[in-house]
Amino acid sequence: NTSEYCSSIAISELSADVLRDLPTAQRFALDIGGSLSKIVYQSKRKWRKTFVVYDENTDSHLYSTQELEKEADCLHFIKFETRLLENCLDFIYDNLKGSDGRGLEILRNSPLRVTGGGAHKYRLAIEAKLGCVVEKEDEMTCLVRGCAFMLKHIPGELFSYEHDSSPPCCFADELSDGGEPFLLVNIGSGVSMLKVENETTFTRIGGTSLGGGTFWGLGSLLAGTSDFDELLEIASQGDHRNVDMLVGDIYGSESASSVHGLSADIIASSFGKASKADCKEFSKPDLLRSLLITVSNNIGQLAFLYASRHQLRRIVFAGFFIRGHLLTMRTLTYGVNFWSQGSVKAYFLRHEGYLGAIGAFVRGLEKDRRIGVLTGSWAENLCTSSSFDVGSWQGMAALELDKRKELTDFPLLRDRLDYVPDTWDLSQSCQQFQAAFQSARLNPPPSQDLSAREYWLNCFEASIDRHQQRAVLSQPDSPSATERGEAFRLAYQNFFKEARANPVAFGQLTVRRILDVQEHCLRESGFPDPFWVLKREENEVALDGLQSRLSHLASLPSADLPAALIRGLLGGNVFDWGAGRVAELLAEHGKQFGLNEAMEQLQPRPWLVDDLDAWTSRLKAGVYTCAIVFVDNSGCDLLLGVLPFAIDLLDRGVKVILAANHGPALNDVTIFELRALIRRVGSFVPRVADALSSGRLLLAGTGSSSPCLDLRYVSVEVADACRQEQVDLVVIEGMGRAVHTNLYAKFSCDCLKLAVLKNAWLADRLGGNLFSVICSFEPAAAAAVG
Amino acid sequence: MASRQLSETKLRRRSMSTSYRLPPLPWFGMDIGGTLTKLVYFEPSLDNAEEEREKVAHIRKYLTSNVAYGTTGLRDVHLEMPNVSFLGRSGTLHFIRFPTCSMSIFIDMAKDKNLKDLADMICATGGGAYKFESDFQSRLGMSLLKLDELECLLNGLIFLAERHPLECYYLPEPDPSRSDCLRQPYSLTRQSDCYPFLAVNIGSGVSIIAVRGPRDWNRVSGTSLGGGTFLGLCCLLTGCETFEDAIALAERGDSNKVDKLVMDIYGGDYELFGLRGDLVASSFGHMMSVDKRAEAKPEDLARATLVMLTNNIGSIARMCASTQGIDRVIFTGNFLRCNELSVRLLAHAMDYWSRGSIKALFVQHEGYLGALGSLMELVDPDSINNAYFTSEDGYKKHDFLRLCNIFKLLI
Repeated sequence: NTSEYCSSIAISELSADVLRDLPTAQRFALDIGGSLSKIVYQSKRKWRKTFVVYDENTDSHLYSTQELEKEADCLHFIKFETRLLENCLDFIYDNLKGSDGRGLEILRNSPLRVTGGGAHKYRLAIEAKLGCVVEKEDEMTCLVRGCAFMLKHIPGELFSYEHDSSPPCCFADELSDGGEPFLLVNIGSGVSMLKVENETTFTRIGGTSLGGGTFWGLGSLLAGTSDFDELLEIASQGDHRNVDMLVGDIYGSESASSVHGLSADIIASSFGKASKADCKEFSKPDLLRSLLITVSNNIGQLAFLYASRHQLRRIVFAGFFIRGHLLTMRTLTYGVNFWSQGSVKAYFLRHEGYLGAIGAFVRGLEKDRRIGVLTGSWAENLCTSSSFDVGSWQGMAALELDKRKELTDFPLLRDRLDYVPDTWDLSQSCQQFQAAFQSARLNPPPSQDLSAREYWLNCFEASIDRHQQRAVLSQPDSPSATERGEAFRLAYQNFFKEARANPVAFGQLTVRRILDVQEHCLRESGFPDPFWVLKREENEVALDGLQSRLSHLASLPSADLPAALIRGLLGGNVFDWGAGRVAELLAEHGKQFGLNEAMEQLQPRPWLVDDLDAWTSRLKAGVYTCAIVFVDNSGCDLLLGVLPFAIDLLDRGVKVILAANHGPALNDVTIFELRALIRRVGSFVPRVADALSSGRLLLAGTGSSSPCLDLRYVSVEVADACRQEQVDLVVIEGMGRAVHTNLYAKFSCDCLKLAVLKNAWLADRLGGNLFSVICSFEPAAAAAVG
Repeated sequence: MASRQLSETKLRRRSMSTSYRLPPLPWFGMDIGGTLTKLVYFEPSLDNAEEEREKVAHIRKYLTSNVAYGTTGLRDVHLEMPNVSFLGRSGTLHFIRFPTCSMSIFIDMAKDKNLKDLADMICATGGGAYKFESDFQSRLGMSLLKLDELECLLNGLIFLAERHPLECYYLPEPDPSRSDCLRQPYSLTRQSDCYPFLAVNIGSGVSIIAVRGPRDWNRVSGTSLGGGTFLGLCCLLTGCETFEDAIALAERGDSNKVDKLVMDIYGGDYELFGLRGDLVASSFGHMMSVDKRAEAKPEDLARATLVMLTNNIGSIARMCASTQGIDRVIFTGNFLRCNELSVRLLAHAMDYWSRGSIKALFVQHEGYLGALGSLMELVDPDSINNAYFTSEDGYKKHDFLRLCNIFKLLI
């Protein structure tokens, strides 16, 4: 069986592991294709979640933490062979029926939305099996809705085929804001060209009958087999030049290039050598390759013609014909590039196979006036979703999206479309970042930085043991903790294995992505917050030192204060359990290693990037209204570094928003811990209590649970606060938020980026040493010009 | 730019055209394409015959007394044009073709007939003019004057359209299913405001040229899915051996047995987008089914191939025409030779999809325009590239051409 593409479910595999959470499924939609069907459903997932309980009257601990199970919405996407549709329906029926039949009742409450070529054929079968009403949804409409949904929620959904890159795909987000209309080319049996203006408005502006069915049908005739994937496999082994008449065949290979400047390899006549006059035998691989190129080239050309006639600069290709097949994507892209001379760009979608199904799902919600179900943001579950392999025809087999808080763009980004969160693209060439590095006054990394990928994969893989141990230790009362710890290890290890073999297995590979996978694997294994004990300990120790730290700062001449605060903030940032070297230091010296010891580790001035003087004079000018500070680690970092800095701002009459993660990530402080901590601080620092009660000090959750910061996805709470409070200073601290991400993010207001490079390799790449300091002050005016 | 340049060169040419000498006979032009080589031969009429040198006579006799040459050459007698005059001489134009893969045989024949003694240069166009140049040089001792194929094509087209009233035609009521569609002559002359038009030449591959005036043209598009694709696929699918066989099969076949129609998918019209149920949704879309493959006859496969390629060319041509703001499309090239079906399909597709706003035009001598254009380079003093046109200073053609090129660069 060569149908590897779908990794679709065999009957024996139709289990609760594949169709997860089926008993709690609420809503279904189906996309029934000729060979493959896709199902999408929404379920309630149970997660273990950490809750911080703050009790002012207890002396034993600052706060206590409870882990409870909580329900959250989840979207499941599964694909299977259409011939197994009825088995699948039986399985769904059995699971929904469950003990009380409530699942079936919910299913029958609203019509089941079905799209795809098989919608008509299977309608009665579905109605009979599930006892629900089936409503057919138009394919193109579903496709457009689905495309809009994926582009909106999944970063890096879009990619372009770049033949000279390895792997040959480059992720992009150019369409996710839904600004400019684009051409959506659906290559099914035939081809439809849709001009998409926004998620609900589109027009069919053309099409062609030379589509996937033509390759399939003609290919079957030429090769004598009807298996689509086998045809593609055979095509990949052939050489079309034996079948096609090339420019070089007509002009002679030398004059083609010397006289006309044409490549002798350009195809003048597809199948032009195949007439009997040439009396040649042709091999199946050669014929099929020629056919594949003929069909995709032609679609590429027509797509360009339609795009240019409607002034569209972007073409997104979708439909079963593509199946992530490299040669197909290459030829489609080539066709578009050749005819447009680069003025029109071709894109593909990572979850292309699921557009119809999710589109039908969305349409259903619209019709039932339940669109609110989708409010919020949906994020890929990187632990349970199958990997993506461009080129091996192994499309996405399973996809799970978890519902998160509603996330939105950070309003102070200078240019949302220019914003690239990640500093290193570990999946491929870094050329696109060269200029950005220079603008951040750092040495750009080598353009093809493969060793960066190796380094980070090794670095994080080496930390699996540490994280497994810590996770198990975080749940001393759970008998299953050891077993789940092992499950975490396996899942995370599997990620490294896949990422090594295929760097784009989970979209663009970045440090942020690796850390996200780690968090997802922990959460999936039932460890919502392995660091909670450690964080509390560190918070308690740091809190003990706060009063003396504040007194020390108060004793300094006011002229020295800003520099001392920055040094304190940087010293605090050394306390990072995510950094291997620091974890060693902390383990070695225990509580002996305090803020002063940390500050001694810092690089002497001038720092690697040293804008301390510029910052100091700007601060003294007293121009700020409100600052937002994205905080990093618990303990010394937050309480002895960030907090005194924030108190100083408050003293200067500047409002402060402290923004912390919603969900746990490493030893980063969460918004729930932050709230408890600040209340406690307020009990002995009246200035803090006053600021809190008067609304001059605000605490906000970012909506994130990552050690990094993607400013395209921040909570509405943070975005609204920035607007309402007229934030005019952004402070980002820590390696995860200010170096791995946002190193060259530009803002519409002043920005201060502070980080200590706690990783020798990274420091070396940026032209510094271990504990080198980045103190980058970027005034808004400069940002607007540069 | 091209038209500006033309007026300059015209002036220049007129001032110099006093010293013109006749090229030696025989007069012919060649177009060496990827699949077919086309040859246009001018036979001076009898009243001039005594002027002919004896050695020309046997070539003339050979070429004009036969309709088949060797095993593969053919003269299209029905296209023959009497009473054509060049340089004050009237005569008959003959249209001959042979497969380009038999070029070697042609060269042998030309050697056998001592062509070299008559002329030391042949005007030729098409890619083969480059490919076979060294063969002509080494085996015949003749050089090829290589001419731009699209320019030759356009020159040939205008020449014929102006001299042959029935050359250009259209189908007032195109209906792919009726083989007796009326052909209406269409007047296309430089005087009749014939510009702009789109020329779509369907040879092995397809070239699409936007023509806005004499010598004001550019190649706007093209496709590799052309006549060569039709013949190649038909040979593979049906085992037929010639273009004529493939066309004959296609005329008898039913493409609906092979193609998936809109109604096969949607049960009727696709109303949301106004697509009629009888439109082809997927060419060869039924052929992934083993049963349908068993039912499809060679005729059906040939028909489906023809319909697919013809409609695709029509679709690209229509897109180009509307992008260029042009409402007349002239289809040329040997793919349309004895291919009524494609003519009807193209006429119908242009009319249907443009809602009557774009007109499809066709020509009788569809495949010979390039060869004729290259003959004109030899004998037509109107041509700036004329091979035997000499200036007062005694510049030979090549010097003059070089001047023209420099002149082009300056503009």
